[in-house]
Amino acid sequence: MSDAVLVIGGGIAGVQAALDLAKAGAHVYLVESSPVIGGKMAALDKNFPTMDCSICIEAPKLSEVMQNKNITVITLGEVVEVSGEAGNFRVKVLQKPRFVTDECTRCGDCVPACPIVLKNEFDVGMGARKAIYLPFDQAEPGTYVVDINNCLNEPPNFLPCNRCVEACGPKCIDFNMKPQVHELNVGAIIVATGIELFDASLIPEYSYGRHPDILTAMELERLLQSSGPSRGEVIKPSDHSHPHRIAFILCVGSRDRRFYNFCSRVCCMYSIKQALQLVDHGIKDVTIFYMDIRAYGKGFDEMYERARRSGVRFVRSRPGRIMPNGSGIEVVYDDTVSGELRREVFDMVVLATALIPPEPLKRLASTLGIELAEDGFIKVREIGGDFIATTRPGIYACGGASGPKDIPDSVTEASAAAAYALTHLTALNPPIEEVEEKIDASGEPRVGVFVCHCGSNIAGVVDVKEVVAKAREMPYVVHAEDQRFSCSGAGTRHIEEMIREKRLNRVVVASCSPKTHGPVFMRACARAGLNPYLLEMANIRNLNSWVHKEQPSEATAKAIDLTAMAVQKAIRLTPVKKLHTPVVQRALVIGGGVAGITAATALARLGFETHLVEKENELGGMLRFLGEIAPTGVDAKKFLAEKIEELKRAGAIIHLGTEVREISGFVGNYRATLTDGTEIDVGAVIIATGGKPHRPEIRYENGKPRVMTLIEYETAGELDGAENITFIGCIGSRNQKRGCSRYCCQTMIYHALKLRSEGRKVAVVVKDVRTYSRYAEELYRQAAHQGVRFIRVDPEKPMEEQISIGNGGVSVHDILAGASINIPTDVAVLATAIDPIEELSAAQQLRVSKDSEGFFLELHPKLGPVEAITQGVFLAGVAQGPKDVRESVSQALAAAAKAAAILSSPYLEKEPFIPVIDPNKCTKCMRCASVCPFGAIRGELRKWIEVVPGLCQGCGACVAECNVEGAITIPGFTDEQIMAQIDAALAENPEKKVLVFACNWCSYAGADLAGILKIQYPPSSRVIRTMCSARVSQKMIMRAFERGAGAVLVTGCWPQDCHYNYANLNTRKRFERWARLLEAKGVNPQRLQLHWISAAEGKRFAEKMREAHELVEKLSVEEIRAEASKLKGVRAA
Amino acid sequence: MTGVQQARLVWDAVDDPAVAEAISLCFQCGACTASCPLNIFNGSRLNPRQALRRMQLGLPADADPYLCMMCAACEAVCPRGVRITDVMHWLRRRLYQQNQAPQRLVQALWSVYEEGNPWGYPAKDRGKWLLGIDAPTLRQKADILLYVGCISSYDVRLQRVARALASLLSKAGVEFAVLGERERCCGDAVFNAGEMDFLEELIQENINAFKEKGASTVITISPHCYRMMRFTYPKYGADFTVMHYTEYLAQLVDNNRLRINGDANMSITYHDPCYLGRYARVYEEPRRLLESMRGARLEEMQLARDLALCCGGGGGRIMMETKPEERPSNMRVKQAAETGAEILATSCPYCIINFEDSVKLQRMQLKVMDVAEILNSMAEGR
Repeated sequence: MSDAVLVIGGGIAGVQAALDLAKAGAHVYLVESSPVIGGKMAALDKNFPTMDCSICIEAPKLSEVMQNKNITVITLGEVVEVSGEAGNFRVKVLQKPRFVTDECTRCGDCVPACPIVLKNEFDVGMGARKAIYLPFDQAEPGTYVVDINNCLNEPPNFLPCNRCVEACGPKCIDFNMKPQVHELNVGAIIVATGIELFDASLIPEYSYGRHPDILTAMELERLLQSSGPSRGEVIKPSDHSHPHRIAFILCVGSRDRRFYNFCSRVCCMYSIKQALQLVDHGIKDVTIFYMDIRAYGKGFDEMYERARRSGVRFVRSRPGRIMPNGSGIEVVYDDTVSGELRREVFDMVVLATALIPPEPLKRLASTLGIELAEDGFIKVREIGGDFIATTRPGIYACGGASGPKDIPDSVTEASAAAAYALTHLTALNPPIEEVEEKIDASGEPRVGVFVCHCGSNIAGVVDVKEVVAKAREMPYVVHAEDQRFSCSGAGTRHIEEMIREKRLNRVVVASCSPKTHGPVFMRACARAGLNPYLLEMANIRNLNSWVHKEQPSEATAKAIDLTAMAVQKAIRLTPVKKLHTPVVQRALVIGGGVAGITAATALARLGFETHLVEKENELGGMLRFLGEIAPTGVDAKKFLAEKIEELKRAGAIIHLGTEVREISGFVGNYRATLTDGTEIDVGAVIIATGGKPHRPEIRYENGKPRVMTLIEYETAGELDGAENITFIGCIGSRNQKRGCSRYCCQTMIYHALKLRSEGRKVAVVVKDVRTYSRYAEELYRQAAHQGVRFIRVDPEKPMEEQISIGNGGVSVHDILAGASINIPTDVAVLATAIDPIEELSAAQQLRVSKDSEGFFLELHPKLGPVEAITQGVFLAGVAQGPKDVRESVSQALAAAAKAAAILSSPYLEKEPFIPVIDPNKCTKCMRCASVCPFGAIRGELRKWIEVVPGLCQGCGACVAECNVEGAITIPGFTDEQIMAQIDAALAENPEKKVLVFACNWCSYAGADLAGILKIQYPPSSRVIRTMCSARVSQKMIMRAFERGAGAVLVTGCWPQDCHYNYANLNTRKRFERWARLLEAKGVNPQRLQLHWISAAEGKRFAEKMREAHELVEKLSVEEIRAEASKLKGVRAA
Repeated sequence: MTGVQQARLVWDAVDDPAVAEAISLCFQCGACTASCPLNIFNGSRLNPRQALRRMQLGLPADADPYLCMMCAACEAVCPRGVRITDVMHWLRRRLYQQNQAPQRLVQALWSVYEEGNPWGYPAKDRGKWLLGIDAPTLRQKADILLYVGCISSYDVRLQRVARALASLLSKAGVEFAVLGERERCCGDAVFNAGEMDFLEELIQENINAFKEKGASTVITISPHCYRMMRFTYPKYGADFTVMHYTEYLAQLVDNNRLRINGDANMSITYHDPCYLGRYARVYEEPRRLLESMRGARLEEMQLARDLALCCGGGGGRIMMETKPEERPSNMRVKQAAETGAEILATSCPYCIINFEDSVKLQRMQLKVMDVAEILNSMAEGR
């Protein structure tokens, strides 16, 4: 019996499954075959359709995995043996040695020492690495790794090179490391091994490999990435010049009987995304060659439309030849809509290569004793309607392991797999961190300053001894010293000792980034008995020594400033504790369709009291009207009956004919009142209210043909011997208001094939054939093979305008034949859209927003597809957007897993950055409440006010909005602390300095990245980090200018990347106000700037620093002082 | 919908179920049209994609199937595996039935009927290529039958290839028979016109003639005969093994029965005949034979194997007039010359005719040779 789960594969699916499991209290062994976790997602530049920076949104998950005590990460691991059964598997994992110990400080000194230059797999061979390396900058685990097969020390080579060993400061390279075998006992196994990319050189007519400017999409992705091999410049690999004409070719290797019959599902969208990025890069001539644009997901059609409007040319064609010629790359194609044969020359051609099953999957499957399907991916049993269970009980698959998938579908399945895996465990131990704090920090501050050399990374530029000497003179500093590697095991142990010995109650570490190393030193403080929130870091490496290599004395001065700023903040820090809010271990599921039933069953099975509320008098939702479920033909009636049976057996409490009348509260603590008067307290809520069938607005004459909707057809089940049946897609979908309804193509085709096999004559009228789902493309092929006719209409016009029904037929203009055609029809079946439900008062009360189409809005389209923006509320099924049964069930399971993660712990823990209101000072003007993006401040004007810690996320937008001194403060980022940092930063030569406010998630990470990439910029900047740019207030800006700062830069995430639900829109609004105010006072408006900088835009950060520096250099000290004096007396807020 | 010129979708317009299935399978990507040599090297002339679409809807195909060279370049890239040449052939059959086949192909048909070859040479001269062959291995009856084919029997240039092959077989000590004057067209010319009844008759006759000779293996010189015998004859009851001579020679070399000893010292590029390559996937054997010669340097053209460009002779086009400036062979010999090779080698008589024409027409230096010819000059006798 076991409380552990084995997750195989450390890509985003495996990471998500591990996190969900760990949060729910399982122990997770995450086995990854490569040296680092993160998978393919880490290599992507931006994600569709949100244009999020991929690694920026993934990296926090990766570090969460590394820090979670319930997760053991085994990199370079391979599962070699599995025995036992569900609930009690015995697994052997072979781990290859890394040859670098965890003492590694990521200083990178070994890399230049290594003489071996190799292609970097992470850059798909477009960049180089050494035999000792870290695949990418933000990699986790960040310990370097030796590629022993290419290392000169490889046994049995008895002439070792050892150059890296000599270069390594902390002596953590160990060639005596041996392979290790881990013997694990786990209750369940999740396979999340992902996909591999098709080798485009297997298609000779596309000439991949014969010309450097014929790229794969992944290669272009690396070129687009600002930390990639070309630093984000789109250049032709042949001559490094900028391309002007670029062609994308879709379905390279997929939908091709020569290679893979299935659809790769993501290529349409990532190609559209890349095309848009190229347009942003100023490349105007971009063409996408496609057969069907499969923009099936939420917001996908909108993005497709945006691309068209931006001038991206879409040509419906699969080119026959791509041939390099003297002047470029010639593409020969038949424009299937105009019927013209064309040959065009492009500067660059990008091949959207298929997502295929990885070669090692075969061996793994046989080790695990599970079957693979014909397509090479893991075979799944559609037991619960989902696509999660493999052929062996207790083993589940998610993400690319069971077929190509995009990120949201992968993480949804990962969470769903977690929900299944949890049912096999005997004990759950939610991680609760307990720290005993022995040190009383309430007395006078006693600051210890530790300045790190980081080998020569800092000490090679900065005069570390000088920094230590200056630190000793700073207020309340009772101890200061330098260390070679503060973060190493020896380094942190020494800090602990010093805390005890010198009775330190504040610690300042001047080293690297608090984002990567903050937790290391916080843990050191905690081990010494000091509240970990009494630590402050000065980032004198990423923000200083790495980026000012040629100016050692300026860098030393800056390091002293940064240290002084940290000391000033540290002495104002107060001990805080992570917040614990109690959780009601009970769940509420609203909606009794297939999603609601699935979610409620899963939660009830895990032992949580679960209430399912359904407004109708019976369960089943839309599923009640279906006969068979496409594409595999599951019997819907039988399936529903089984689902309901399972629900009852699991012991969920069902409230039929009931709705939620009132609901309020916050994560862990909601109170719901039902229409029958029942009151229930719950910790989590799942909204699974489905959608409703679209009512077609289509005019036709009565009589022949008979017209019915797809649902009516399924219900009718009998066609009175009709001979000619015509299915018509996109009725009510894909118009100005609505995107794709997702379920229809495969469902139409499923029925069309069935009718055709009975010998009837069946036509299907479509805009595109969107059979993206697993086995659906194969179904499409089969239908065509059997003689179903596919008629294609203009994708840009609503279907309703393109068909006319009557006189025994359906008339339509077929764009491929270029001819109007009348299809003899006895029965016309309309595949109608799924529309959103009208209003759901419970959702309104829970502040769950809706998207532009009227479905409920998810927290994040990529990584939070089942979470609502309100914490503790989850979305399942069609309520979030149109979906088929398979997807609804997966999402419901995922929602259940997320809810379980909350419910399984008696307490919720969160960062203590929650604002505190001083009732004596607060005027209850409610301005703070109006800017809170989470509704975490409530009250009544002039009457009462309170912060709901359960809802607060800690951005600090409220504090910046308040104009009453001291009425609201946020620990860790108080006005007093930040003002002290400003004063310290500007203590000397303020006129020559650029004061920069940076947000934790994006621009500060961008600044870190500039350091990692060693992009040099002038040393005039002084960065103050806040959680969100919305924390920056007028008071701070005015103080900076009064103190004579040369320039002030406010930086943060691009609005759509904001980690606090668009809190940074406040920043923009305020910035405009400050700019007007300063202008009115006669301050040069250029001196205050607002810049959005993503975590990937290290280059942009450096550019902005350079520009600001040049500005400051142009201004005279007198000018600045004169302007500062004009600001005297300006209200601080 | 105004309904002007609106056609009604017609089901079952195609009577052959296999062809109907092929048509149905197409998802209209256009890769066929964009890989057709008629289009990519001559400007748009044949649009199989469009024809398939029209046929899917039961409309007239609006395409001239006799333009098609049956080279199957389209099928090589078709992601759905549509047998486009079958569809083209069905269209030919229908046009033939409607007396709309090109005059030249109908003439050829009569020539086959009367003289056993599509060129109208006298049947009695068919064995003349054997003149001057000292062939001790030639047998009245033998297990192995060398089927020479019409053009290699009569064309002076190609008789050299036939003799070279016969000599190679002799050098390897292979005992084989030939039909001589009794040999008749394999049926390719009949098939190309779209006539099926006479085709059956002819095939039956040939099968009987082979049986009489006691042949269990038939070796062909022309890939066109080869395709006919390998893929069409079995439908009419043939049960003998068919090999292209390159396959057979490769076996002999592998078994060390044929020894290639001379020093070649030449650079060669090899052209894959469509009927041998794309239809039968014989890509390796000819190359292996050429590489077996000491000093031979094999240079590949960019368009090789599945992508090889048709010479223009397939599908009966060899019989029909193609304007000199429109011949795909012109492009092909240039591609061959671009590799820097001195010799363009191939293993199909039609290719040799077309390439030599194009070389002359374009005043090029390239030497066109059959694999058998090259090999024979290097092979060692017993």
